[in-house]
Amino acid sequence: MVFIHALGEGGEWPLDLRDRITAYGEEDTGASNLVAAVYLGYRALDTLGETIVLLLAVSGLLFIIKEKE
Amino acid sequence: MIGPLYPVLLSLLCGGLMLAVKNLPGTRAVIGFAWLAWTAGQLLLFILSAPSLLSGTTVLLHTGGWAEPLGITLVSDRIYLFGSLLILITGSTSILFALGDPSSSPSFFLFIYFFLAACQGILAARDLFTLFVFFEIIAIAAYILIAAKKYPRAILAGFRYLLIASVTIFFYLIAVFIIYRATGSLAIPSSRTALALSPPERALAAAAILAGLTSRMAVFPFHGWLPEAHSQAVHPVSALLSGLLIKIPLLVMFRLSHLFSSPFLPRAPVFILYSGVATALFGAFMALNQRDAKRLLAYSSISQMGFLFAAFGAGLGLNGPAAGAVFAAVMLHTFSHALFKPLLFFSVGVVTDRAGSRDILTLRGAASGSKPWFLLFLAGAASLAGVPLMGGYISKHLLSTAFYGHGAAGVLMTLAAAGSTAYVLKLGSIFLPGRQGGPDEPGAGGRTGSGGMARQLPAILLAVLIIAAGTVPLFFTVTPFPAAPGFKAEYLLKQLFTMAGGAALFLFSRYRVSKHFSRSIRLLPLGTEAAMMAMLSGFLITFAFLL
Repeated sequence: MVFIHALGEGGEWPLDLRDRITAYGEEDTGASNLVAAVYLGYRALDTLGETIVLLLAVSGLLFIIKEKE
Repeated sequence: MIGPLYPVLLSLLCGGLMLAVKNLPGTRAVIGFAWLAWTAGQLLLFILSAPSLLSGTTVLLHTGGWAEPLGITLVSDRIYLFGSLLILITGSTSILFALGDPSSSPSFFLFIYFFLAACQGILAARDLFTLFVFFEIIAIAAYILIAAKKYPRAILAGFRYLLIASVTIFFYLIAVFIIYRATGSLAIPSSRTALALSPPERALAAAAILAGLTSRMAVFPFHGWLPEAHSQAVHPVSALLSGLLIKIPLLVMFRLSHLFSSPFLPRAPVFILYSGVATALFGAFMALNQRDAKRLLAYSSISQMGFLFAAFGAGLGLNGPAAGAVFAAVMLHTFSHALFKPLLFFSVGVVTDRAGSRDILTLRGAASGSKPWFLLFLAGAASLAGVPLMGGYISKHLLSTAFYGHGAAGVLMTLAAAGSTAYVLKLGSIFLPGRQGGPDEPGAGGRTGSGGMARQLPAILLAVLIIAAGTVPLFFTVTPFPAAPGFKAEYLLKQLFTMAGGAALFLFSRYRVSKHFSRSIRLLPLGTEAAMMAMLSGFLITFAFLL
């Protein structure tokens, strides 16, 4: 019950950031697409981290399945 | 001002170098150069940033120039400085040890460097989502490192870690969602954030974060992945796992401690204390029942994490300087465990490879022909058992003072400490003179040899640090660690009794009845399904208790 309550009902969504990004997003990051403004602007470090995850997953897979010499 | 991103970038750079030279011939020199550059660079960054951070300065880095609720903020402070030291010592010695194995490829080091970069990123992140991203990197890198031997059991061990880590990071994401929903910010919770959550939300968020982080720390009942992972990995990876992988989340707990402190969740400190006590006892009990030398060390890591987690819980229940003293003790023991456990993995790993067997019950005379490794093992083992003048004695003494106010917990922790003496004695029996009389059969495992300088150098360095950590506080007072009282007669006597109790426990474990009992413990099926079930029920129990 608490679980559902915490995830679904109750309380307003915090809107401050949304308003802030719609108002200043383009000016701040130079991206006319607001998703790109967040993804590659405000939170670019997270995106870099996620690409490292992909790099590791692919090179790790190749490393594991490569034949032992 | 040294920003918190430089060490991460240096590690990524070394990893990138490994990626670039992966398919070229003659890469040994490049790998060696990367190790040198990494160690020198990290040491330099550490020395440059240490004075200002020690005096209490906090350096904030707003990536891209956007402040907290909008952008990502990285921080370097004392916790960060302490973690950098752990990463520097464990990372550098493990890579050097791995260099001693001629078959390790640049790809292998690539994953080590990315693993270290993720550890540094976790320490620097002051943003819940950035923490999540770095935890993902660490999970994948650790999976590959565990499976690096490429035989089925190692791959399965790595996969089990990946499975448990991925499931529990989902719990963590639920907590991030709840906190963001209530506060509109992804910044690490302050006491103000904790107030913005309603009590049930607070309980759910805390339980979810506890499940996410304690599974990485291998706290009971989230420990299911650790014994296989530590024992199946190659020795430098075992050292990295026990020195860093399970320690870094503990440092994150310090950052998040506002969420668990008693004004907001009155029952959290007691819960953390007793789950730590359970972990310490369970780990010591299981370690005493093991036959495989590296599995014994793996369970010992679980037990030591229990000590740390229990003391962390005891500290959460206190306020002001008293809490600070307990947290300092936790840090010190984290440090001394990160010194002696890699050393034990190195020394036990080398001698068991030479003997061609890891069976404690049958292997004897492992020291023949490798006296230096026996001495190095002794330094690590003495520190683990808490012999005075070793680093482990001071940190264990300071840690035990955290449990004075908690009657039952104090007694149980003394029992767990006696247990650690018992399993160290059991592990040490592989060095007893051989039963057959002659030296161990030649050529059984001659594949690796004693490994030369590249393998002994890191072990010697760790042993020197252990002895220094145990003796320096006798002559100098190091501010947060009041070590000198630890050498009073009453404490020395108490430690002596604890160790004598451990020796008695060890002798008891050699009776036939106990041997039969250990055998049935070892035969218990502890598969992936059991680990997952234990983990899920652990989460539900945590939530129910905190609510």
